[in-house]
Amino acid sequence: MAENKVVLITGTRKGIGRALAEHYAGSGYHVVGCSRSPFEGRLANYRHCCLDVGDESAVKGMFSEIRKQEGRLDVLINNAGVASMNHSLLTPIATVNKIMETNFTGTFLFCREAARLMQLHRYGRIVNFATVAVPLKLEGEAVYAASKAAVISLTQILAREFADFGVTVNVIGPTPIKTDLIRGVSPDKLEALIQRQAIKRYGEVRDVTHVIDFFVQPASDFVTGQVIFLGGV
Amino acid sequence: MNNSETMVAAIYRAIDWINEELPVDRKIIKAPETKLLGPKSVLDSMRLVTLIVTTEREIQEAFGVALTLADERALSMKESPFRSIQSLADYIGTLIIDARNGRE
Repeated sequence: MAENKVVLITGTRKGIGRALAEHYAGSGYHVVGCSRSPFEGRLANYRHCCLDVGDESAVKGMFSEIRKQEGRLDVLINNAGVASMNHSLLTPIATVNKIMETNFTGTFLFCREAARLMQLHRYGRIVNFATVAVPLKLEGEAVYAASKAAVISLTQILAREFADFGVTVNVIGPTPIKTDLIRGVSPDKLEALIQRQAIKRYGEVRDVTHVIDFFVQPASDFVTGQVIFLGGV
Repeated sequence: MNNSETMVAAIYRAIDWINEELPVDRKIIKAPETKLLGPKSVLDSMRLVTLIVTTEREIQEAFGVALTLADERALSMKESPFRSIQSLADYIGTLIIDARNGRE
């Protein structure tokens, strides 16, 4: 069903991004992935680019390659993200800038370049990543949550700006999932967070995949500017 | 074809692409004097955005140069380069020369 469709996923070296790359490559998509480091191992239907998602020149170069080699882009999944859990009084500005550059600027850049490519076929699906830290207003995650709140605002406005091009833009807001992103968070804090969810368990990659599958299917052409938080947050 | 005509041709290809979607009475006329901005323009803001993006793509394909047409420079000019197809073509010509000379 996904024959010849092209999906671009950011942050595919590990964690959710890697699982998504495997999922869509296994579903017949041509998958283009990126991360700062090389992709380890082999994956059929997969091509990897090494870049920093906040580097405009590198990102534009990658999209130019996708256009030349694939001629189209159907789906963009903006998964790449960094987190830094710390009290705001102890957060250096370099950390703030890095988080904003990866989580917000990177998402903006990829959305802009993807929509330019998607408008060629007047079709596209973009899924951005937020977090339950936004609605839960978690202490210690001020900058991370703010960067993701910006992603939500960006998404809701892009949904309107891109609608004429047949491009939808939505957000998934995962709960904690056992990946490197939460490695530095204490088990007590994670347990307290999970207790604030309607469904009190860790998220699984399949929970994320399921929501993204819904957003990106062609029949979801009337679904845009929406945010789905997992776990009943 | 001289340089100006080549730029105009690139803009016309972008217009062809946009015109595919427009009804007959709303199609953009391919003429150097066609207004792209202001009350005499047939383009709404969304179509203008599409024209700019599509023209950038056509220029990149024709000349191998990645231009950003609607940047601070364009927006701060006394006379907008987006006044007409001809003024846009002239502006693109300037940007290509600058790009080839290694300037911003």
